[in-house]
Amino acid sequence: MRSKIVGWRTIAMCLVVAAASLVISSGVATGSMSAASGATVSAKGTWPGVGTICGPGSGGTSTTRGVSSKSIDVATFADPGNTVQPGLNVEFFQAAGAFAKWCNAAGGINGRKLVVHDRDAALFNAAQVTNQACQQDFMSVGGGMALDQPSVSVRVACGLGQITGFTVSDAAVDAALQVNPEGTNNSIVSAGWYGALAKKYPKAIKFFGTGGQNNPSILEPEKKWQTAAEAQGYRTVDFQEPPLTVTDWKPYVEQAQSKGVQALQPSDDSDITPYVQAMNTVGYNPAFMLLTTQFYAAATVKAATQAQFPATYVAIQNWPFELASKSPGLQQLQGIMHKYASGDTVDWSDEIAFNSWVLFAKSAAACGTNVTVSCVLKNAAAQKNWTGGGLAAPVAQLAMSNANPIPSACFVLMTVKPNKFVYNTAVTKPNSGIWNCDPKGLIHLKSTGG
Amino acid sequence: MGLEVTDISVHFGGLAALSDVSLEAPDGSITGLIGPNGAGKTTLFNVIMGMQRPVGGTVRLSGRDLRGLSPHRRARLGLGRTFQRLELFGTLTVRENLAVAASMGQRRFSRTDTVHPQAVAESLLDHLGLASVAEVRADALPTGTGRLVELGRAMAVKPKVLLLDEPASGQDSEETTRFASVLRGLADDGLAVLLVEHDMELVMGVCRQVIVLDYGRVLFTGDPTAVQQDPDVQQAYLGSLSGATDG
Amino acid sequence: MHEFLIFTISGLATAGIYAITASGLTLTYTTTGIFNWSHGAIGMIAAFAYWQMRVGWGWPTVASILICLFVLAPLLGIAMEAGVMRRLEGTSEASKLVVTLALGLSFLGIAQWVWNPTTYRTIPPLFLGHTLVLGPVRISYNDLTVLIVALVVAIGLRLLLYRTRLGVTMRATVDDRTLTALNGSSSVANARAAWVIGCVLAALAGILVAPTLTLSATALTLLIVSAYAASVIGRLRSIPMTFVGALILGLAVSYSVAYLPQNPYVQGFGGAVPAVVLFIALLALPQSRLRGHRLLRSRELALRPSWRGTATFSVCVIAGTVMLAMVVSSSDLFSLNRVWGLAIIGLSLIPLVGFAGRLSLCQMTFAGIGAAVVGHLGAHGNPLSLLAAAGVCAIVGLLVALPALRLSGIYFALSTAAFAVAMDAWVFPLPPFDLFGHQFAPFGSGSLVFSPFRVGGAALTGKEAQFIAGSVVFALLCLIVVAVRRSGFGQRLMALKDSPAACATLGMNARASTLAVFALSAALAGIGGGLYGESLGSAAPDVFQFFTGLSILLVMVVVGISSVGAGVACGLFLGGPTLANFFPSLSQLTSVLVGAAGTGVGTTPNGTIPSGLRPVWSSVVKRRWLLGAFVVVVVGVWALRLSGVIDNWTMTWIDLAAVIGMPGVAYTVDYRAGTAPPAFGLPDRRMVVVGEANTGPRTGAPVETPAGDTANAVVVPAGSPGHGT
Repeated sequence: MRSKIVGWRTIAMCLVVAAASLVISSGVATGSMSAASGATVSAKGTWPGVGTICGPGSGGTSTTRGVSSKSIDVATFADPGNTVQPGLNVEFFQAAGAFAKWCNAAGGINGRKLVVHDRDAALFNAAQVTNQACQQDFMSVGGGMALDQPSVSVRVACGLGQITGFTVSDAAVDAALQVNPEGTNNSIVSAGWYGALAKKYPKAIKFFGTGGQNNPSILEPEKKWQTAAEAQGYRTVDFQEPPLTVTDWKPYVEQAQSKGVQALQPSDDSDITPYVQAMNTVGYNPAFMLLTTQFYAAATVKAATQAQFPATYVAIQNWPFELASKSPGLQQLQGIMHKYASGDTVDWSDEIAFNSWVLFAKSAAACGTNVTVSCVLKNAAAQKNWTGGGLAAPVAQLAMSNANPIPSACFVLMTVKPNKFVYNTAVTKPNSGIWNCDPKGLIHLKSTGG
Repeated sequence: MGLEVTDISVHFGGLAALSDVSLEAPDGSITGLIGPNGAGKTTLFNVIMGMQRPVGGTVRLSGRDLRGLSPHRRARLGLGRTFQRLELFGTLTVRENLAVAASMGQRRFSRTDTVHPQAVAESLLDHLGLASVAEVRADALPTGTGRLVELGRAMAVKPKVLLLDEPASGQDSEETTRFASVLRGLADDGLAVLLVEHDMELVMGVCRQVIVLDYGRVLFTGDPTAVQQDPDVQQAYLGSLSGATDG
Repeated sequence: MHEFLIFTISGLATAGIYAITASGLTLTYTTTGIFNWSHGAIGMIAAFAYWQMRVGWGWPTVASILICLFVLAPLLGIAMEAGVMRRLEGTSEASKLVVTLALGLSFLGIAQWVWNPTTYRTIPPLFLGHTLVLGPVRISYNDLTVLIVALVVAIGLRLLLYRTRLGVTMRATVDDRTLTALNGSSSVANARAAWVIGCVLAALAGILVAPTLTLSATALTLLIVSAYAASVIGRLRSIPMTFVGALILGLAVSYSVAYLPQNPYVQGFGGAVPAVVLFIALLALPQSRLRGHRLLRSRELALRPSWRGTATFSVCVIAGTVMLAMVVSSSDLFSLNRVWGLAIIGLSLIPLVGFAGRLSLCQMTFAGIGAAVVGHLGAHGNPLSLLAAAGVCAIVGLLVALPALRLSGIYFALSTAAFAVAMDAWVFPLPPFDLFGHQFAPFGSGSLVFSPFRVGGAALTGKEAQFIAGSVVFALLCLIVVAVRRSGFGQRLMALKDSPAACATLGMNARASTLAVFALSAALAGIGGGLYGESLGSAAPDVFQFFTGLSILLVMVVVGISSVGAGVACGLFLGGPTLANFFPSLSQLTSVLVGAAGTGVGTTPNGTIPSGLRPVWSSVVKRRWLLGAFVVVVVGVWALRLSGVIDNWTMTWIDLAAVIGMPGVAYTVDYRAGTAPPAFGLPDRRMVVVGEANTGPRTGAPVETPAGDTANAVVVPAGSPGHGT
């Protein structure tokens, strides 16, 4: 996305810029994440594998907050306004806008148009923006806040139901009034990829280094990953807790190197580029590096053109864009984004956003005229074998977040190459379609809360 | 006792602004301090008041050594001054200037004969003939009147020693006359007044003793007539006075 | 040892960047006498411009850097000198501070406007992928470049100052500003050269620092602000000492990253290191000399407010709030609720800045402390927690002010800024800890939740009730502020602002009074913060950060720092339905406007209320029939709105028309009667000194106008022809 004001300048610099932007945009287009043009967009409000979710209807009066005869106000949470990592998860806003346009074009949800309110928590204002949503919105759909812990009590207290994009902190994971389309659970962690990598790197995993940036919301899941890895034979030799703003990663890289870390899951949770650049500067080259879903993004493979990555894997539980041709649902997502949010990057966050929007639309549509939070959540929690219409690994049975849902064991591992991700079948060892769904990947943690 | 200054020296960078200056301003009399511009008169006032640290020498007030005391402590011991460049409280009215000064001088716990600041202001307005400008903002006053207000403000805290820095500059002759009588009144009340002034008529008229400062040194000390007749002083200062305007 | 070497090199690179930017700051200060608070923001703008060319438009690195450094930065320097800084010549230190702060805030707003802050931007390091291997350590070419550039800057400045004519005159200004001006060396040329060099150095630092972090306007600005510590170590005079300061700072930051224990309580301290170094450097400064005329001089209007006027104002505030509460929708009311908290924080600046003439940049920090106290103690909605907040803030205020008291002007402001930044970076985000058996955390684990106050057994859960209660608290505090102003203490503060030297010679203990007023201000800010948190429902430390406090200060100064009405304006402008609501695509408009208005403060120090609104409206208030008509219109329109005849917008427009129209009617009446010009302004006893304000800046002649010269200045009653309008 280009900044807004270049307008008058571009006139002056027209020729130069035109040439430059051609180069840049062609560079972006060769990236793996761009929306596939030519994908079909169903105008009818149907979703592949899910059915009709948006369409005309009579609406009907309602006393529920945020629901009128003509419209439904929905909140979407993200953090783009923060100064640590500007633009964080702005894709949630873009996806929400595109989905709402597509759905409204098909007639809305039983004739009620979706009105999306972008609620930007800018990392630190989670509770405050949740409070704002509580004044106006029916539910929160397809969003996520990196530091979500403070928002939970506010959201539950005001009865703001939620179908999440992602949850981070323990409190948010098993909160009430919430369905997570991925079935995330505090005491059952899906982490099969550690086992898959252990088979390839049996020695390196005895020198495991990980960590997370110093905030309860982030550290809680990081510690769960650590436990899940140790359950599969990893031995932690280094756990780092850098602050949220790090201007120089060299000290942290230096520490990992000096402790002999060979299996590295970086303590950097935002942009991996400076981290790997620091690794290059220090001259640190572990046996392999493992990244979590949030790094399945264009920035990572772009970084691989600027810095030397060790063997690097990204573990994901959503359908890889590289295999979009095998998923009609993902093609429809790309088509919608291409049509309604042209120019926006499309990545994993769009997948998890659409996963929840499709679930919300289907559940809300099933409520008919009487749309209430409990009705929508009840319908959502009842779904079986949910994949969001081919966007994510299948969850056998969705459930309310506080009713002990069981996440999907399935995952794939992608290898990071300059400017592209490559689906790594050799390490993934798929056993169910593209996925490795070995149930041993589901790690039951002792219920100490991680 | 009054004010005793002994062997005060001040250096600015490598330059000696004052060297071994000693003088005395006894109670109940007006002492003149004259000298050409840059002779160090204002610097001496700053030293006496504690606003400038000397490299050597002592300042005594009624026999008490003032070394290390901050300006406001010295003020509370009975030192008061006016400024060559007016330092009025410009946003306040004349009345407020006097009243606020009176309230500053009163130590809440030690005074027994506390007079209400407003009453102090009222009597000073009267005494100095400022009643007609009582409600005028101080920064709107002509300089001459401003000097009277500053004098009144200094009087409001009832000092024992008063340092006046060119109090008559900018005053018309009528104001100067009033000023001279006010000064004599102060001396009659037992105050020690140290007066820096270029208006020789005023100095010669009111001072019992005159000290001449030149290049940071005391050039001459004596009564007004002796000063006027001293050839050194005439050479250094009085002769060139016709051209001098202000400092 | 290896680790130590790595951190030393990393610290040296940081020091290089600090040295470059700090030497620019020192140079401009010594040559022009203006401490440029927008220096950091200039570096930030340069970094973004560099990104635009280098990454956004894909230009070659060298070309981008050259254009930034040798075209854009000098142009900015020349424009700043001619457009803003030249007019500051001869104004008070406070004006200079406010104007340059405002300029910085404008830059910040413009940067966020031009470069959408929700977009992720990075700049690749120079010579990416190349490292120099020196035995056990590797130095990236980027760090190496920084070190070399810093060295070149050091040598270049040395040559400039000692080997060129320009440099020699600039150095002369360092020693004695007035002397140089008298000697006739062209101070304008010197100043222009200083600003150009200053801007180039700021830009250079911005460009060099950019690759080490994600481009974010506020983060970049703050990072470069850290370098101010280096300048202070150089006592804002000595460039070699500034380099030493930068070295201390860079190494301190680097070693703190390396050797601070990996403990959540200590970790955040790393971010506060520059602020702490700054604070220590300030405390090591020699005592400032007692001089007159240091602060806002007597061009300003400072009428003593009457009880009657204040009471009327308070009643109007509460009545207006009640009327508003009855017509605004509940979700709008939720955001409107913030108004009173912010208004009180603005109000808290009045005794300190408006009366005593001391500038505090940490008012929002006290608000944060107040919020934390209310959040913890007011868990059951006890409104007395507001008083506890006031008490705690007063004590913290005393502790902060005590060591800083001996500093004057910018140094005092800098020390409050250091305090604010350290609190932002370290104390507010602290995780919970045990203190005397109680678990305590400033903001819980990220966000404090506030429960509604309970008054008389019932919780103020309704938005309307909260909104109205906020206005009542505000009105009460206004009365306190006015009481302070009218008291002997208030007058002594005003006197202290006018002449600290005279106060000392009258026996006033300036320190005690400053301490008292600082504590009072902190207490008010604490109450405001508590109420602000309460209105948000929950608050994270981010809400109370340094930059937000700057906006409040600027709005207050622009509107009128000694008028309680400015508090309302501050609340409405920053917390109410802002311009951003009307122009969502121009969300930065508010800060740009505040900044732009602030840069005008140098020439209009009084603010909008005393010099604009009050004189205009006094002619309405004088005529009871006109005032009556106004009240009838407002209440009538409100009644129409209540009965549903008109909507909120219509009501707003009619009210606005009445507010603008009534003074017009008054003027027309005056005009007919032939009394318009003299009556259309201030009462006679309010005088305005015209000469001083207008001559100094234009001629750029000697800095200080002695107060004695007021006699020579033209004194006219405000409101005479050509002035009143």
